[in-house]
Amino acid sequence: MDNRQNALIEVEGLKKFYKNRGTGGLFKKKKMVQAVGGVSFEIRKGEIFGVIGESGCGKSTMGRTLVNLEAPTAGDVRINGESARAILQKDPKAFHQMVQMVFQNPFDTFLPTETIEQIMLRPLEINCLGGSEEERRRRIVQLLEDGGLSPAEDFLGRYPHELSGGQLQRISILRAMSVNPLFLVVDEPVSMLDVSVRADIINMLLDLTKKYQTSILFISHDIAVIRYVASRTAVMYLGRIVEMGDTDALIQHPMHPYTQALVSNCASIDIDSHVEKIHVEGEPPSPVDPGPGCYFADRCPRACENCRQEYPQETRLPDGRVVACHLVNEGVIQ
Amino acid sequence: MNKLNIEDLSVVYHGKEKQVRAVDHVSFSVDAGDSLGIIGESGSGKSTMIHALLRLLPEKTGETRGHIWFDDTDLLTCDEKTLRKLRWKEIAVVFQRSMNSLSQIHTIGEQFEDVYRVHEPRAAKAQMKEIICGLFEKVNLNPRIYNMYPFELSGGMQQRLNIALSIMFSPALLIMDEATTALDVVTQGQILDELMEMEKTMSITRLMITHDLSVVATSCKKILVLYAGRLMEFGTVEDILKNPQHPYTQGLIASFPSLYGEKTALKSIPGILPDMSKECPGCIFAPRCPYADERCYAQRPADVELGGIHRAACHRCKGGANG
Repeated sequence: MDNRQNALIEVEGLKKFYKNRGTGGLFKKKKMVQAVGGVSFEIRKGEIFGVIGESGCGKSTMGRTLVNLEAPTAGDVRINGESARAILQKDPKAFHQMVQMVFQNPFDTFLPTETIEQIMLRPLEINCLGGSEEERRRRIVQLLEDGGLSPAEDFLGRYPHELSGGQLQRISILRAMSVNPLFLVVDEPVSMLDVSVRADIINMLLDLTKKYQTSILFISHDIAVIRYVASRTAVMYLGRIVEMGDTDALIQHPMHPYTQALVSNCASIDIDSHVEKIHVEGEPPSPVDPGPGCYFADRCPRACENCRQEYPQETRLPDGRVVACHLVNEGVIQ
Repeated sequence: MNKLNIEDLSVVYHGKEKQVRAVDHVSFSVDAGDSLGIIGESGSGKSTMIHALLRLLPEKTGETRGHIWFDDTDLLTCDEKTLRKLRWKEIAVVFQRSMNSLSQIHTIGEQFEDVYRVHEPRAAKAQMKEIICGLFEKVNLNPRIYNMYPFELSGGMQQRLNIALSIMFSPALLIMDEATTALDVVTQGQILDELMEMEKTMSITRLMITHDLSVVATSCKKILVLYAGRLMEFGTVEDILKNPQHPYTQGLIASFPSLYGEKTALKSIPGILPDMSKECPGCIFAPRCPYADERCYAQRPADVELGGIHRAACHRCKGGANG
């Protein structure tokens, strides 16, 4: 297939389980919390891939596992065809140069006792990039200027608490990009920022991917933001991808009942386009023991007997959409 | 009939060296059964305004001027006793992180009963339980949590409990200060629907403070745009979203991604919030405004009536027409 050849990041059957603390007796086998329950997808070169889902659906854990902040329980990630596990064993530094992350809260990202100069120099020092100290300094000045923080000399001597959230988030992105990574995971980069500065950060990410052809995994709970940045999007529910495909098609014509409910409940500033909200009862099941069937079956308004007994297989439709739903497999939802 | 009428409200915080004008001469009114969204970025004074309304500001450092008329009572000058009767029963509020305000060592049922008894001391236990379980259902929670403790629930469920608490006495005025911001999309959508339904049946007036334009667009009838403590624009949802007149409102809408509409490039508003401790003789938005001229820096614009309730504080607006 064509997109296989261009795929840069291939994730296959990625799982992350945590030990559940304190349940059961002393000799009982401890149960596992299934944070990420086997996800597979690919991200092409220079593509922004969106991940949406509610709190607790495992989207952040997935992001952290991809950059190896958490070791995966099973599954693997291939970067340019090479297994991440193999790269890590051979040369951990090389892996972290390839893969970088930007976190949600820019106020907590940096050590408060370091100046912006120290913060920006650190990744270059660790990875032995940029030549002499003087050259490195010139390089970060250039980076900051390009990233809209000018005059850069003004920022170098300042401490994180002296900057606004938007400025800090810029620095967080610039720091991650300074080692020229192949793959960047951004976890809710704009949710802490004011609306008027959000657009800047989003545009900055879009420019950077265009310029350096970096692949980005963009995690967010805000579907409207995802629509602006991501060409393809995956919807996660309780650690698994329930639907994945072209972002616009996904929003215009969601197929999985969960995606339908999610999109219909999303607030929009277009007051003319009124979408009837789909009512969903209850809460997601416990990730410790989600049961054998589809995880959404108990809340799904269209669930049938089959849905409660067997987890539906992922089906790839002709237009590239991937859906895990019995009703789609049986052709009830088209 | 105006339910709530805020006249020329100003709040000044007195610090050691400087004074910060957190709310600067804001006036607006809300009718019974109305829903008003108060939009503003951080530092725009929206939360301060609500704290002033409930008289929760520290008296030593927060100086409040103006009038806040709730029916015929001025909330700023009435005595404590009158105020206590109004709070919760007539005016209820949900704060952003109010899930942290629940006691972790008492069951949810006990806490709800306690609150109920404050205003209805002679309520029977069985009757109370029935009312409380009805409240749970309104916010999509299972009645079995009555005997559970808050720590057994997720943050979103606790936040919903607080929304349930606030509507316990079907208040005439319900204030939600970023109350649904932390909730998941599906839960938020459902609670907003439920609130709008309740407004119809019980004629609740709702003030909704948020930075999220889309939430206001889907759940409110009127919008008030605040910037650095000053009123920028006020009007119906249609006025503000379809025909914004103030450059700040226009900038805000241009920076907001839309879910279904055309994908236009997102534009942010350059510059940062001004230092609100400094005297500003002109328009407070002028340093960030793309159209600002000399007059904007020298003279504070008055509210320009734009037809209906629509008004904007900008020199460029001329009554009724596009500025």
